[in-house]
Amino acid sequence: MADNVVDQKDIAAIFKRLRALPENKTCFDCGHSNPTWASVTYGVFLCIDCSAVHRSLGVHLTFIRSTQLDTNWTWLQLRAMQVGGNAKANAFFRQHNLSTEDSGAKYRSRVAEMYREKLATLAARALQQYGLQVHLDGHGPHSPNSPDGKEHDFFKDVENQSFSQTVSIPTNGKNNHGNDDKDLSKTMEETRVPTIGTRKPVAAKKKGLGAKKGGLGATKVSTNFSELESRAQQMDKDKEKVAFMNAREAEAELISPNLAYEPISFKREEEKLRHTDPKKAAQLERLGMGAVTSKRGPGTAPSGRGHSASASMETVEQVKPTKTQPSFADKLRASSHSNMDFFDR
Amino acid sequence: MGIVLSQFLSRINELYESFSYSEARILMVGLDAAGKTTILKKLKLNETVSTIPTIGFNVETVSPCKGVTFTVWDVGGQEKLRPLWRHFFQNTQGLIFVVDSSDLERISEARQELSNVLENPEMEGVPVVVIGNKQDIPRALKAHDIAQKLSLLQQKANPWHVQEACAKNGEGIYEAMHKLSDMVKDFEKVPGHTK
Repeated sequence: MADNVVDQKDIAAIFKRLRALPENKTCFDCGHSNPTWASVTYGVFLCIDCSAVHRSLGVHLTFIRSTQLDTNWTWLQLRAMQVGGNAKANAFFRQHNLSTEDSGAKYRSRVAEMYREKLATLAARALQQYGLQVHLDGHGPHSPNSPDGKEHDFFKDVENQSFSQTVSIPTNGKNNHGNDDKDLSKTMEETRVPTIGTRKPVAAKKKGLGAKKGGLGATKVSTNFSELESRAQQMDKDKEKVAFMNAREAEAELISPNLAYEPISFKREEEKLRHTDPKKAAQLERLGMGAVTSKRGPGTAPSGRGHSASASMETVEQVKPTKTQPSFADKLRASSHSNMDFFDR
Repeated sequence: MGIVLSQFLSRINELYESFSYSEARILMVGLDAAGKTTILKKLKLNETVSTIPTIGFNVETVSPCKGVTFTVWDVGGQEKLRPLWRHFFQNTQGLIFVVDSSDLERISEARQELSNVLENPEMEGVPVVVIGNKQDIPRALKAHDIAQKLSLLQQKANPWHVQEACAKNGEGIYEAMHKLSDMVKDFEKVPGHTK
């Protein structure tokens, strides 16, 4: 299997993704940016100068390939790069107190040998497990087994959240609604830190508040809001995920979960809102913040369906900041307003 | 008297030929990280320099032994650069094929690349010196192993020689060049080859 010819497109896709990871954007040895060479033995990315040092050590210690000039990567080598990466190697070396700058000493050491063996085992296992699937996380456009991978990731994500808490939100009273949200958002922050893309705050800034911020010109307030909003959006998404789950369970006979989930979850939310607080819902609608599901075109992607960091980043970009959407950010804002008796005045 | 003179003249001529033998165009190829550029720099500067992967080619005029001047073209061995090798074949009078003796896994890849080179009509009869580099690394392949694994024993169209070497300390490099210069001389004597 390892000797099978790997499609050029697959190799390109794998390296495009791997090299996009922030950890792999600098040379493992010297920190030079955008390394294009790789040591297959350690699964790390290197600049051309450091690759020269590696090459001089010999292939029994470190085998260098170019991510651009070499075209006959084997699946086993690609798996080694996928299960490896600069961050993992760094962590392993640091964990074993190997901090020498001298490449010769570094790669001849016992620690390096341990990591070589470990990575080789992991790569072999990954090759066995994933076969010829392009991406290990199952999100790749070419990957044939992607549904399995997605499902797995999805449940893992959901596991991290406190399930009952999220579901119980709509049944809660108006007064503790906001508090509950805050508590939940705290737990979300704690549990979901690794899955949040670094680009999220940027994407969040693009949303609704952007124009207001410029007008106010108060930097302190704007940062608070963006923070608040990004937190609320996360939660919103998590809630949508749960709603999506519920919808799927309930509407098992429907063929397309994509179509089934979208209106149901949103209608539900609207109904919940009406049910729990009809006054507020009316206010929201009057202010143009109400849930108008019909305005959600088919083009708007269901934002709750991103199951990994990269996928959620994509979906965040795709969501249009329509005020008509009953996002949690709006609700949070509304609830905080109502606490301040803004609407009742 | 005349016979003696003519014999003397022909002897002089032979000597002259052997010393005046001026230049040869040598192509040096091989898999990536085999040590081609290191060998070239060793020949040129008699120093062990740290080299970066060759993107493109290096060319140096070296004179590894008396009366011999080689223009050595060292072309990068990365896979995407290998199709470029054929552009250097024209008028090549000698081929140096460098292999990493310690890289047992890729010796068959090296065999394939060598046979691709020698299949080209422009390389017909061109003498080949295979340098089994990196002999300092334990468990490096020896000359007879390399000859066998590169299928040289079946190679009849080109004269060949395998030389164990270590470019880091220069062992075997000059021996390889001596051998190559002898083989190039023989090749030049063959009538009808296209120079």
